[in-house]
Amino acid sequence: MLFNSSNFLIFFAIFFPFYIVSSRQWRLWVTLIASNIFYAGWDWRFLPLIWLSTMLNYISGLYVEGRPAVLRAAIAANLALLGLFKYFNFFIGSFAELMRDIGLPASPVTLQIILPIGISFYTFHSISYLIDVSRRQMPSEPNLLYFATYVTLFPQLVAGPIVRAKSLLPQIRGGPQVTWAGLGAGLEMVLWGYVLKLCLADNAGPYVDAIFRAPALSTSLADLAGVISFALQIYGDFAGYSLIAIGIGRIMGLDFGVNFAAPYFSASFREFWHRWHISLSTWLRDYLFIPQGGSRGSRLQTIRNLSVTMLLGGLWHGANWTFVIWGMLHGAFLILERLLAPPLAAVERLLHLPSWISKTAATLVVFSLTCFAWIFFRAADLDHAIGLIGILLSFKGYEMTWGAIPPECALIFAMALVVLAVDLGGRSERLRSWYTASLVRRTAGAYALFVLILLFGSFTGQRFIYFQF
Amino acid sequence: MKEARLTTRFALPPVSLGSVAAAALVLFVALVALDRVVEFGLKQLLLHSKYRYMEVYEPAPPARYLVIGNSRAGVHFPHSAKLGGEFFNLGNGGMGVAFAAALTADYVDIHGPPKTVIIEMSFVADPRSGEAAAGLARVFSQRARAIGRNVTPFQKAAEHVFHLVRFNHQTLLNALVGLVWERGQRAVNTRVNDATIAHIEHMAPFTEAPVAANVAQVVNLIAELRRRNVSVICVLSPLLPQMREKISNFDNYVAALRSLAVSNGALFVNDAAAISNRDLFADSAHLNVEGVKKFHQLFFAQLAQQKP
Repeated sequence: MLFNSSNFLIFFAIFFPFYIVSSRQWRLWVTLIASNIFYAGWDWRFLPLIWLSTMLNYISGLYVEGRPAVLRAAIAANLALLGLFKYFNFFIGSFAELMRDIGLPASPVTLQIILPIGISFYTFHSISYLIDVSRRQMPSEPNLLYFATYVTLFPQLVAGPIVRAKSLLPQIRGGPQVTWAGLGAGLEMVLWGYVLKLCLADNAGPYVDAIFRAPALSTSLADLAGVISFALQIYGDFAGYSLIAIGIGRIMGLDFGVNFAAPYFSASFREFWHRWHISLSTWLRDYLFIPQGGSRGSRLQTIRNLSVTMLLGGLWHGANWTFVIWGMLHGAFLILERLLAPPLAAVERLLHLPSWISKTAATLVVFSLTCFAWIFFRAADLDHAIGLIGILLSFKGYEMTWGAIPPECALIFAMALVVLAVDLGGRSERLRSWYTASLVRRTAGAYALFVLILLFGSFTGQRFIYFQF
Repeated sequence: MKEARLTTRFALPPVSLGSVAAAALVLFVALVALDRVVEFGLKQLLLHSKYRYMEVYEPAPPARYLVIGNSRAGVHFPHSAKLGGEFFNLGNGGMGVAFAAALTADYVDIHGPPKTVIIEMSFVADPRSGEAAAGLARVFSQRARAIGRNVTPFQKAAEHVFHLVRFNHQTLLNALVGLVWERGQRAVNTRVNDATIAHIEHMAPFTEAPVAANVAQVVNLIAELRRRNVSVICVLSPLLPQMREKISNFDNYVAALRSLAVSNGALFVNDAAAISNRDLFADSAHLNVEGVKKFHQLFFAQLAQQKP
């Protein structure tokens, strides 16, 4: 059941009246049942798996405090489930390939495994809960209804955001309240999320698919436009999904936090990761980077910690070497940025550059390198990625002739202009205050978004990219 | 979008099923009313667009030649910059016969019959209706709206409630840009690259044949045009030689198109092999700017001989 499908609209139209009229306790039952129906809408066969995961983590949560062995066993069990469904064939296949490369016979046993949707997300929800309880940052949850509602909560079930238990469980326990303010704000978020998904991501999708399928058939300029279009598509797709999820949460009286904050205006990779998929990057920071020592140790240790964190962050996205390379590239960018920061600052001082010039240049560099890394993220395999990079770096076919970039790019870049202008406007506290202070302005803005969706939205029902993770 | 507290001078009732339902109803009615207002405004605005598919609906004398067909028609044949000029070219990428016939009928209704209609025949072998290429025809044309579509009941209902959805088309941006600028020439300035040639050479041979439903549409269209004393020229314009060679039944395909044209009283011109220099092609099916120039010289000479 996609957020951009009529099925979801019907589902929510049936769910929400029940949600409103229910008492506090019944509201959670309604949510739990609806969440299970929502999940079964994808594939009912995976319901027992999510129930098993819920029970495992619920019981572990009760005994994990002060017992590191229980924590290790519970995390291992979570990772075993994730590993079996997501990484088994990848590691077996890669091992067999390695054996064959060194001349040893290998006939690996691979399993016909379908990836259960949302498994990476609900596994991370549960692991963060267990760690927070074991660290005594929150109490364990004795009420199974509350805990099961947290794990299966449908707006954030299949593709996040990864809302921490210590933030969401108290809200569930306290009984979410539907308010007019929440309804209004939630609707605005949902609308903006649909603009990102339908107007930006889904308009870019077919063009990106064509370019990444056969880049040699287009000009290098068109290929470059395809890579930038993918950067826009994945932002529109995932930020759009996140906003719809967060907006639905607000409508239901729940606060999921912020998951994207104008990431393409980042002037450093450090800033980028504070603005991109915030719930995952903070998860990786709190449960992977800092426990390894973070940046407290020597420079070499920091480099190691960053590399490991970003590599695993890449692998989290999927069992493919392209994701590993993508994660490693971002790790390398973060490390280089740390190493180059002092000399670059010295150059800036020497040249007396106005800060806006150096910031704009840095933003462009960060965006360009981010796009470069996206090539690995999007390509079907390493050969495709290297082939595309080879074409882009051939420095041929960049003539700005009429037709060098296909006409469909006009709509993609027009929508990107709207989205990036709003992102840029949102960074100005003054502009944001001016806009949000007036109900008339907000209503007009919301209506403009609605018209934008009707006129330029793509209603082809394309899946959200992050559902595959 | 950062959330801010929703403030109002009015005292809102407590949130209940009734008050939320009432609010949803008010919102829905307001959205539908605004939809009609914006629809009217946008329609008036787009009628001022110089985008060629909008000019069908702007009264003016007819052109001497009306060109219809898919992108090959749009690229390979000229289009006069002003209404009532020599050529009015309605060819567009992916245009199907059904929508082309509807647009032609609208054109003739509004402007009167042209002297000659040139039909680029490639689209007769394309089973698609041309929905994706028919411009904003559904907004402005009763005939276009009557053409069936493969949409879900939900989409149909949404379009019925919100008329702005009818404007949701890949050509809307072109029409909006056309308010200030319209490019007459559709041909591009690139050359088919080696990878595309290699890709075509590796392709398995395939066959082309007129689609029965399209044949019926073309027969009706030619009959209707001839009834109004319009002469019709059916043309198969140049194809990249490597692509032509992949069509295993090419001669039979051309013969079928010729028979379709001639048996209904139209002229048939086979220019598929008229240009063989690959540098004059932008891709497998379209000439580039230089190729189009060369084709125009050739075709205008043929046109002069035909004296339609």
